Amino acid sequence: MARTYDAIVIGGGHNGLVSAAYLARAGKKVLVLERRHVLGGAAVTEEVFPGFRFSVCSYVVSLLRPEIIRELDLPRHGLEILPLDGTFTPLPSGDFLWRMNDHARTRREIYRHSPTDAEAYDEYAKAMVDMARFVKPILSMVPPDPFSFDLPGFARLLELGQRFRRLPRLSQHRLLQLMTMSAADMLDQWFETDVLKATMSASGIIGTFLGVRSPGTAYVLLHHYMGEIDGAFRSWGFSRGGTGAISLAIAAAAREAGVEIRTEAPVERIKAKNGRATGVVLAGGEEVEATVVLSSADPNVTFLRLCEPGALGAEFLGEVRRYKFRGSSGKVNLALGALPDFTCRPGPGPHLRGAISISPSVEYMERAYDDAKYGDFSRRPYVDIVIPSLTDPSVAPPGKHVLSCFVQYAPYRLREGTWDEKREAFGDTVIDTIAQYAPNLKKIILHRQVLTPLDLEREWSLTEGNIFQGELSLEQLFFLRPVPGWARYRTPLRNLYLCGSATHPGGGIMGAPGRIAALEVLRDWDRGKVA
Amino acid sequence: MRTDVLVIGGGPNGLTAAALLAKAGLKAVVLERRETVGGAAVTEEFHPGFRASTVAHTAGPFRASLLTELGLDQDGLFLEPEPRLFAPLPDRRHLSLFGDPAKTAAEIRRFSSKDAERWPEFDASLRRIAAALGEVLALTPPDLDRPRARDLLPFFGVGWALRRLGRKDGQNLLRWGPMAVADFVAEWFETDLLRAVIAARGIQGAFAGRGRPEPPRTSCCRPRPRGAAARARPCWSRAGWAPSPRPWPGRHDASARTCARALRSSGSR
Repeated sequence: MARTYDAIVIGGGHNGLVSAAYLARAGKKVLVLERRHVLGGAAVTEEVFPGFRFSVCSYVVSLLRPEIIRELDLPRHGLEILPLDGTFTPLPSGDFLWRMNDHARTRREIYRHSPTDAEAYDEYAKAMVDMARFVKPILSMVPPDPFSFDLPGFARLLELGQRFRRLPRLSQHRLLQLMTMSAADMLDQWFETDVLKATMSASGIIGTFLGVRSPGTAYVLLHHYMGEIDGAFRSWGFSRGGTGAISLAIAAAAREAGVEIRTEAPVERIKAKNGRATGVVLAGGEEVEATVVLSSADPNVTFLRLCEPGALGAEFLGEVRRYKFRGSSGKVNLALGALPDFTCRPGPGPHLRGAISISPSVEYMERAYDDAKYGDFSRRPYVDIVIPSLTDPSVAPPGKHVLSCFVQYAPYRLREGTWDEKREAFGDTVIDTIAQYAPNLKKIILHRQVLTPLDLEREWSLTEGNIFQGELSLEQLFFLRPVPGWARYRTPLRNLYLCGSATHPGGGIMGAPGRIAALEVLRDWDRGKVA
Repeated sequence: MRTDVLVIGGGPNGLTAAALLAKAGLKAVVLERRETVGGAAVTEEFHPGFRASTVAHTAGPFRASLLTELGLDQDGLFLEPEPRLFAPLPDRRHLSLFGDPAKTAAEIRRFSSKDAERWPEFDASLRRIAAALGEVLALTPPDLDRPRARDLLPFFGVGWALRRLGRKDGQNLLRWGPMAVADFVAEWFETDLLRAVIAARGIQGAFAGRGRPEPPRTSCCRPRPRGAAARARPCWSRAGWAPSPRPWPGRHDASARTCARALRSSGSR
């Protein structure tokens, strides 16, 4: 006989686990099913090479919602965030730009490049904080549906309008511009130092198939600016034990609340009867029944692969097929015998403890995109490098290091060849790129792991390798995410909900989609709309 | 010399402003730096006997209400060439688009019957959205800092018109607004040439490539002049996505000249 739960959560990534924890805390009997052998989804730590533990996919944290940390009491379950100390951008000229967490020192450093930019930097930081404060409450909001007469939704929109009116005049203008501009154009309005603009604009392209000069990227930049740890804006950090430790802390909170978690339990099908989801079938044929099913997988996997054909209308499926993934990034993880030595700032030092950004100029960033537009990986890619073992020595053997590179662009669709053929060439390109600034790199590599968009799709079920379960572009945000009319975590199949990054407010280790989805499920339950 | 209003620049906007002010009883003087009025809407004999629309070679979106207001509509100002657009390929194949969606669909069928079937729906959907959006073109943008009710009120009208579009068109408008025109056409059609021809309308005058978001709203959905239906078959503006009435080269400055004529007859100089 099939076993019965109140709720099944498909996928044990951070969002799935957050959903499960909130449902269990409300007294529901919850089962989480994870396909892989390890929990965390893309927020996962794995010992890829003996003694070297990598945050295999997602590698820094800043967007994790403070209310989740508080409500699930994550520090008690082992969550510890260590600060990421600034961003270091080496230049081919032998110079560098080093922005630190210390504002006064950063200002002096920028002054070295341009006195006017140092002035502008203060004002810019203030303006961004203003705007992030305005946008932030949207992150914990259920998107209203502008095309239904949904009164609470209208009330929320109206409130948003009110708060917009209360913003200082200049912030209003800037916010309107920010919604549609390109990151590079927006930064041009503020700064003249090329490398400063290039490094800042990088936040605007992460996870999108857009260039720094593409309209819409300024908003993505703001999205990344909203990170907060302990309430301080714009602070990114590592979690002790890698990003997987975040997932494990959430899992511990979920288990404490009574959630049952199974790994190596791939869901093959979502069962439906009379227009309602009734449970799942696992690979191997085991059936598990539940009153509601939450899927933290992306819409492509959930609706086109797991749902039975015919369970959803053709029009809805058309919209799902239209949803854009277009993975554009890859990951290179290196096990190192020593630290890289940058020509522009030789020797070890605090500059290696933060992010190291290969983004020497705006033109460099845009050229990296040019390659991708026509179906090649960037010959000289944008690389964001971190060496977490400097901050958290537990992840590497004594004296050795792990170095993790986020690389853009690596388009999912290649013009020629396959990713299986090009994986190593891609890895070589990334290493060559970094070696231009740190020539000792090739000699100190002990092992390397190269992840292409195809690998992200195969191993993590991220369609087309998109790290955010769908592009964070304006036409796929808020009440349009993932599909217009279905942005409120519900789906056309009753009792089936989405709770992953493909729902508002999107990707990053934020947990917000998982939390809001669970609260919406509970709301439906209270109103008798479930069962 | 003393006058009520000085207008600097005798291009189509300067002339229109002067004409409307003069009609309202003010004395308006237009000062144009060049020897001929028209600004970028100008026809010049660049070689003996050959007259070209030197800069802008198609006109629009011209407000239909202006045609009537300035008394320009008697002049048969606009011509509608057929086909509206002809796009050749290096391999000798070609595609023509016509004012009549059925005729265009038949032409597209030579490339893809799927695209041919979608064309009328595409055409109709954009027309509906453009008609609703068209209202915006005649409005003064409200002042964000001190919005005045009289500026804002018409926007509720536009909002209502958009809501009346219904769920499907409304959602499409919101989604298409910020999209790259290349992505937008890829959602509709599979024929590369057809995609390119429509997308080309999306990048005119903007410094952004096809792959970058260029709101189809501003590029593809320029609403046609509403009142023009009296004279012309329903079609959008000259610069719209669908090839539509366009003045022949040589006729182009006619609009500027007629405008200037209307101006003089209403007492400006």
